[in-house]
Amino acid sequence: MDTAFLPPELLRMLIAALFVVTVVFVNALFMVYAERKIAGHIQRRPGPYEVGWHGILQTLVDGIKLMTKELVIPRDANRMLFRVAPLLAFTPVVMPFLVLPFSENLTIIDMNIGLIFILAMASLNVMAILVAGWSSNNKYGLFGAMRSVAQNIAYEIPILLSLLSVVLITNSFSMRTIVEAQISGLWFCLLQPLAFIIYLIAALAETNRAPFDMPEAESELTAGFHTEYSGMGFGLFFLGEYTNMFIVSSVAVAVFLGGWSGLPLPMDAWTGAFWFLLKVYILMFIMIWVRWTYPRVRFDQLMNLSWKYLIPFALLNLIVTAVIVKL
Amino acid sequence: MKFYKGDRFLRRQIFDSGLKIDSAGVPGYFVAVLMSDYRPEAQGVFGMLIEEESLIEYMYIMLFLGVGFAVAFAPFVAAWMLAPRRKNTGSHESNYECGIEPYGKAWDFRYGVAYYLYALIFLAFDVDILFLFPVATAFHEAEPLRAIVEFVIFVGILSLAIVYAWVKGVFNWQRKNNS
Repeated sequence: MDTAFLPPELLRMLIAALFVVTVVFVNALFMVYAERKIAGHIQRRPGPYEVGWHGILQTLVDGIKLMTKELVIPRDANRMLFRVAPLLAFTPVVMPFLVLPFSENLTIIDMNIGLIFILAMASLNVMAILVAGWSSNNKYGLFGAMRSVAQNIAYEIPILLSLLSVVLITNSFSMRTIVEAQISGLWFCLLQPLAFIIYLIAALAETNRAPFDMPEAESELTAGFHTEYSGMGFGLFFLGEYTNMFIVSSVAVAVFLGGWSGLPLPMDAWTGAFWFLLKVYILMFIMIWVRWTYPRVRFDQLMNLSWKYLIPFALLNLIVTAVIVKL
Repeated sequence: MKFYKGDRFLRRQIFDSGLKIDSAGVPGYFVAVLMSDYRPEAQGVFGMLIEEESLIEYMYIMLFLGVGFAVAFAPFVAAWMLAPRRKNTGSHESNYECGIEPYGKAWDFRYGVAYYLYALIFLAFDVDILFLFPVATAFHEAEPLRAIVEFVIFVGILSLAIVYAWVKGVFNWQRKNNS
């Protein structure tokens, strides 16, 4: 490609887009394999083993298989909404990468509303699930979508409140400022332990993962909102879920776990990115670990955990933070 | 129209930032472009020098929206070309209901009223939390005592929504007696 006549900012934009798409797909390929392998070993079986060395090509092959499957649209479905829902699920998932601070230098743009931008884009996920469940005109799909929306809006509030108590300290939504505040001081998981725990629990629920995977509780709802989706329609929801895991963990790392800070390593400019990704993948390993360890909670327990415990404690934490900041 | 020599410019920028990219190939160059420092003179797009930084941010957001959509759409194009097309038998396109003939339409079914109640508390709550966002950014500028008192009053009124729902029994799901 002849880049000589492209203006630098445009070239940088295109490179950033390519970078993000690569991260999304590599992360999904790696995480699906990791999830199946870890799940296997937790259950004392080897997991995928046939395709490639220790089954390492399994996800790639699965992806190709998904692409060659027929896209069935049910007769009773709302055809337009049914087609739009997977696109709606995947498109906003790319956006938060714009502001994630991978390292001191490696931030695509550092917006002054970074954290709000991530939250806004992450909450669009609910729309996709509702559209998917509603349009497929399937009882499992509709009930799964209803549960998922109720769950997602319930757990959005503890996330907002726990992040707000950090913003009260930093007084800025810029991701870079938040990380730099932790490098000069203490990590916020030490200053705000309650907010950190609340965020982690709510994040598990926000990404619809076990023990809060109500929308797709397979023993009662078949597959929840994506029951009717075959082939790539299902694939995109799946891809979106794993990318959401990455985003949620990245926000946790940037806001609570010191972002790119860590011990100095002889990798000059790449050290920050190394520490950031290491922390993100440790968090994601914990999310997988939790999924294969705990049983699913009942739906009313799930809703009340948020409204009766997480939100009151998050509000209390917010008030205490506000008082201490001003003392 | 004045065009910048983009690639040459970015390479100079990388060099000035002190990053070594000779060994890392094309991926290294790409990441180095993202890592090298911003310069105001770099913000030329289509020959225009854009001084407003938020405009550049909007351009990034629009581009990412487009890229996200394209990346989501491409697999469907691939699937459309690769996927088999089967002859439509009677039950091929019917809804999945564990093998039996679908009974009625899902859109006619009703679900628990608790969902609406949760949605109502959410509305009351979430919209109020939005007001806390600007408060959080300006909190350090406020006078201490007044800031604390006003903050506590606001959050106190906010939590009345939960207290009210709790007292009214929204959080107790009653067991249905169908027997």
